[in-house]
Amino acid sequence: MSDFINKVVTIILVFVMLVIAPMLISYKTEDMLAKRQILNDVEMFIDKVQDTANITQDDINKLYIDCNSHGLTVDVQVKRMVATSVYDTNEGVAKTNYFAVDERALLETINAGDIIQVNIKEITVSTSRRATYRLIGLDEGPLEFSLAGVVG
Amino acid sequence: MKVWTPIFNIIATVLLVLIGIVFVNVCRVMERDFDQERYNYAVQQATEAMFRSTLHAEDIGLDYTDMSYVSINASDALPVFDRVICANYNMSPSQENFDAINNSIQCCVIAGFDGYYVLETSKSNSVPNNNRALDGYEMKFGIKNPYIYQAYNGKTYTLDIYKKVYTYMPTVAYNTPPTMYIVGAVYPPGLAEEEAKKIVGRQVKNTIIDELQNANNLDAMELEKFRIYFPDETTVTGVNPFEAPGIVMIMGSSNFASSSSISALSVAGYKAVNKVKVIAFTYELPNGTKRAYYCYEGQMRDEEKDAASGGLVVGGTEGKFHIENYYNTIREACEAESPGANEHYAPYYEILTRKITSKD
Repeated sequence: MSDFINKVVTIILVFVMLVIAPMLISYKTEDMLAKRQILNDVEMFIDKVQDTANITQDDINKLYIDCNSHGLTVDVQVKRMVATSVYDTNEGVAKTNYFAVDERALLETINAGDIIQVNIKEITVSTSRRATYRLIGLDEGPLEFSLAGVVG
Repeated sequence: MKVWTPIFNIIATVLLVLIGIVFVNVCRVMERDFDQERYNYAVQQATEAMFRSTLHAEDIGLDYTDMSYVSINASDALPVFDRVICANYNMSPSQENFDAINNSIQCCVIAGFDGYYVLETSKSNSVPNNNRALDGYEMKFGIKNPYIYQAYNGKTYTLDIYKKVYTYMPTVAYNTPPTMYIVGAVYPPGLAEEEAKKIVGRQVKNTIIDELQNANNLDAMELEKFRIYFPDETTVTGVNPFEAPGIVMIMGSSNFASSSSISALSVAGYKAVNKVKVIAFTYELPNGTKRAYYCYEGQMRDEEKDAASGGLVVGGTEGKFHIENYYNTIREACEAESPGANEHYAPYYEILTRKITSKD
């Protein structure tokens, strides 16, 4: 009887070691690499917008395709925060406030001093990642981060 | 033979545990790399935004407005920095978040031509004091500290490295008020121009190191671990020294940037340089026709400009090029038409390949 249990445990262990573990490891490493590459793409986009001070539809399309080409499915949202100076009568100084716009037409020309913020949010999570997140708690859940830069 | 199976099970379990540990470590390293890169980028963007908001060109009151005299106004700088960091981490721009970000700043120095500002914790009227240790204080830039030069004759001067003026306060006795002595457009005796820049760089560097050692989040033991080094002049590997006007921002570990605390410093620095403009000029051929060309500022030698453009007369012959206009880019120069020659400006190939020498 104990022999039988030993054999079952052996087979399970063999299966886990040779099949499940390498698959999980390679999926997870690919996902983390994809995260890093998406960060690179967003950084390049913000650098470009900083110098050219306008965002065309081609730029946004390219960013969308680049971010989605690494294996994750992400939603990209580009927001422009327009810089305004408002006089604060209580303190007697001028303060800088920002208000956000994200319609396509308003991203065409950007004033110097505006902040461009790119929000990346993962739409679908692969089953393996969801499993590691729920069962083991290893992952951080769906990818979500923002990155911002000042134009000018 | 039956004993092999349990032995195999034990070995397999041990191997699985090893694989698991290695895997978790790899995940942790990649996570940390991602967080650190994002943090570095955020600090760089925020520092650039802060620097831009402090710069403006000053009219030094002479016959022309000198756009090269960059002056620094540090009063509104810090909220811009905080705001860009908040945009990077999708935090709301509230005062509590700003304070949390400011607590992570180890050191920030903004240097202008005639003095530098250091970020300090100072008492504040706008932060309410709830009898907790950190209340009632906020981070602000202090007053502008002058650059001080101790001459060989024992006198102390303050320097302005753009206008090249220095002030010297002779004190006769302890109860007579000092008189300011300002000499124009020359450095104090025994001081060369390169040496003046190094003195400025050295003073700012010592301030930065001093601030780092006294910062509340970092003690001296950790500082040794980081091996920070600021060179006095550009090293052979291309590390630049600190030159005014510029900014250095050093941020330490923060609790908003990642799920686990990052124990590395994030450094960002910027420097303002003169913009190289494009000179559009005309050249009169011997048969009387004029041709229009352009080149970059700093490529044309002074003896090639004619007298009306401010050239030098060397050996009795005047220069041949008459400068008509300045443009920001070569594309703008090419699209403009020369009034003297009635054609678009074309590149002057011979001069365009020369090295651009800076004015100072």
